[in-house]
Amino acid sequence: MSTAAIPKARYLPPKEAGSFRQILQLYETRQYKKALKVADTILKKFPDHGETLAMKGLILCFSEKKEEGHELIKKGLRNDLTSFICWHVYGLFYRSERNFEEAAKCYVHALKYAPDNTNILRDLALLQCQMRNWEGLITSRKSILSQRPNVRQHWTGLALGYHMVKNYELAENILSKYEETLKEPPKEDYEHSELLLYKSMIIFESGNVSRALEYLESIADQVTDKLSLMEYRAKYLLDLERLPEAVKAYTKLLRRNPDNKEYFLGLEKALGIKDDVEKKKALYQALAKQYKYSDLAKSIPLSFLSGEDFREAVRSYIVGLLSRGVPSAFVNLKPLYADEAKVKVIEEVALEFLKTLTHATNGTNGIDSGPDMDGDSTPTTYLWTIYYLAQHYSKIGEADLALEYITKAIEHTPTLVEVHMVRAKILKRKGDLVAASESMTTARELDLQDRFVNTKAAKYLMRAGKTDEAVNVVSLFTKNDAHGKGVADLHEMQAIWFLTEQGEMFNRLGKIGLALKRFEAVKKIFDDRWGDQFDYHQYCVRRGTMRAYVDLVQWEETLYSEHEYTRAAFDAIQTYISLYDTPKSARVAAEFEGLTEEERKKAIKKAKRERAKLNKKSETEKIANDDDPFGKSLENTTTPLEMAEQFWKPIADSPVKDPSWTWGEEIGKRKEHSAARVESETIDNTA
Amino acid sequence: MVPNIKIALDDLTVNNIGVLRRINNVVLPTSYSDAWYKDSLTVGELAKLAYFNDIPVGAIRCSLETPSSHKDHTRIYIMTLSVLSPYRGYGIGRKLVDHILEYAKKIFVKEVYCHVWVENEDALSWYQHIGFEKGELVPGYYKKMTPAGDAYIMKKILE
Repeated sequence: MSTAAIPKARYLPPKEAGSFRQILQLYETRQYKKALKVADTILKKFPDHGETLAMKGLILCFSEKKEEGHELIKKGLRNDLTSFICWHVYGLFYRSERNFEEAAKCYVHALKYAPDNTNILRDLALLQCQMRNWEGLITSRKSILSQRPNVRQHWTGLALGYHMVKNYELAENILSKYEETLKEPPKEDYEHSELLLYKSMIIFESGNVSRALEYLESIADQVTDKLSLMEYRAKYLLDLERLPEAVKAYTKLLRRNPDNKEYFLGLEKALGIKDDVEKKKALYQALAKQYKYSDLAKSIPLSFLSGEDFREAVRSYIVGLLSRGVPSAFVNLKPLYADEAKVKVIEEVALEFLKTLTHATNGTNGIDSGPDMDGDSTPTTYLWTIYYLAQHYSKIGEADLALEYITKAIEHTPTLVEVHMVRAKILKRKGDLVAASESMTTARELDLQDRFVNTKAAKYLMRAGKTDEAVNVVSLFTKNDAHGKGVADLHEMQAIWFLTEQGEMFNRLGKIGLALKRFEAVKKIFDDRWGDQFDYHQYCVRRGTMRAYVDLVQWEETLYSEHEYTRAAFDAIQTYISLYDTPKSARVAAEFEGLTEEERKKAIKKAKRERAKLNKKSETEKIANDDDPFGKSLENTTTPLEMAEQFWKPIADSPVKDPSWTWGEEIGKRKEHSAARVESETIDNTA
Repeated sequence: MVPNIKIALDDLTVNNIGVLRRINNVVLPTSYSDAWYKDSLTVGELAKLAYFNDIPVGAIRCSLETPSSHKDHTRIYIMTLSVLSPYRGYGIGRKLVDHILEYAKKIFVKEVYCHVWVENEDALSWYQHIGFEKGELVPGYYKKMTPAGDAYIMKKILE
């Protein structure tokens, strides 16, 4: 660019121009302090120089002076509206704020004044990935590629764009063209191998499976990820109905790993016996013999067998687990509980097994139960069996029987953590939350270093309404603040379970502000997760891990329909809606309803006292840098419906939705109602 | 069926002290103070838990008695030894005592002893069975019993 083209306001004499380039370098290498000094020397002479102001502002933003920085960036841009640097800086600012939409707009402006700037194009491409603007991505990637066709990531970046809009042909073409640019394909190169597998995946998704297979075979010697190679090959062969070869492929995979369900199911299909129970039974018998330690070889048949076959199979399966003392035996069998007939058989089998046990329950002090070689006399086998039965009866709603068995188990071995945990669960299901929590605490005290039990104990305390105790217990495993509490750390660690449980507890206790605060914290975690993918748009393309990247992008789409989010979101929406339905004045009035003057005075006094207590407590419960530790501003919001909508929107936008989620309508109904009310009020006022 | 049994000993720690408490509460008629349990963490090898197939089912807790005069020797006193009743007869108690005897040898202690209630014939014969001998009678040792219970001293002298 010639100096003539530079607007007067932007022109710097050679010395200062050199300093400005120095700022850019220092910024790239994160030497912010030095960069600021240099910027100030330029600004001394040229206080209105837009690009320098913008750069100084950006650096201030990264040095924790965000507000001042933002002002400077804006000022810089105002002083030089046609500078691509100023626009780029403004885009970077928005990006650091995770305001991707505004950032993208700024980049587009910047490109107007520097259409070929690769850095800006690349930054724009990343934003387009984040916003799933694949068409836009294709355009940006095309310009980048035309400028620098010798870099692999620019090819894969463009192929990704085509892949995402399902233009498989062009996606494949781009990757093939890249391959052609290589004089000799690199050997034993993981990144190159990933690229080849990515291409094979694209061809497969295009529906041309035989060509995908052909291609896969042609690259086999270049692929370093042998497992993926085998898995793809098996999948393609099955899809092409080349069954004998598919059988071989899946058999090979099983030999590598007999604990992968996909391989078993693939083998069934390849053998063409998916719907033939007898043949499947024989197959799994053979597999169970071959893979002695594979749980799946024994447990998969339980799902398709019935009648006597099921009884036999489930007997040997359960007896195996109980004799070995597998604490999770019940969890393994739980999927079968959807089938009532199977539940019945399981119960009979477990009870029969219990009868064969020769272990005497009341101690015989030195004398074994005798030389009965038929039954298992190990005390732990007896213990795990009654432990299993307790869970079984609890699951099918027989709480009293469940309690009977678990009480026996506790009398037998009161030192086993698990029996106390199951007792707690049974009591919880019965609705006795206080006793449940006591039982969970007993379990916890037997093994203080078990975080799982600690977590459960805290959860049960919250269910029982024991606010402070719960925090104290959970804080045994956290990095604690000056008051020995881990609540701030649990926010930091994204402990969704804790935030949701505590929010629900606060809701039950009528502490609406705190409840909303916790639900908002959960939302923030999910928003962060959505934002966190940003780094991968660049990283994965650069490292060539495209298959993993595509997985990630697809997973992120369902992020907000995860149960962890919807549970907290529905809690929040419900709370906000009830704030709307019962405005504050009505809530206060309801509190004092039906009271005499005297009682009312007393109640007001009591409320005052509690508020004072709460304020005092706020000193100890305060999370650093939080000026609203009790969420009062949330509770007193004047826009509860809009707040609820914030929670609902990402669910509404999610491709996986449950039709029973009707909160959108609930909010919509009230918004209409509220709009109508405002309208009628304005009419009233003008009339 | 040949039962698959694994017995192992492990240290008493601040995290599993609740187990010792529970076993003692269930098995022994006397109860011990919080201070006693806290103290149990300081005796090192003299307190152990026993595991049956990875479940804690037994415990031993002793103390080292340094003599008040030069003439007497240092002794180890077994304060509590308990095994949950369903797990008796598997050699767990013996394993716990053996551990103490070995440790005694290692630190050159020549005597390990304990008190046993005179009426508890099972325990008396069990101690004799593992090589302890009956010592003197201590009348009224168990003061909290009504009437106060007498105890025998059971001891083992190590060479």
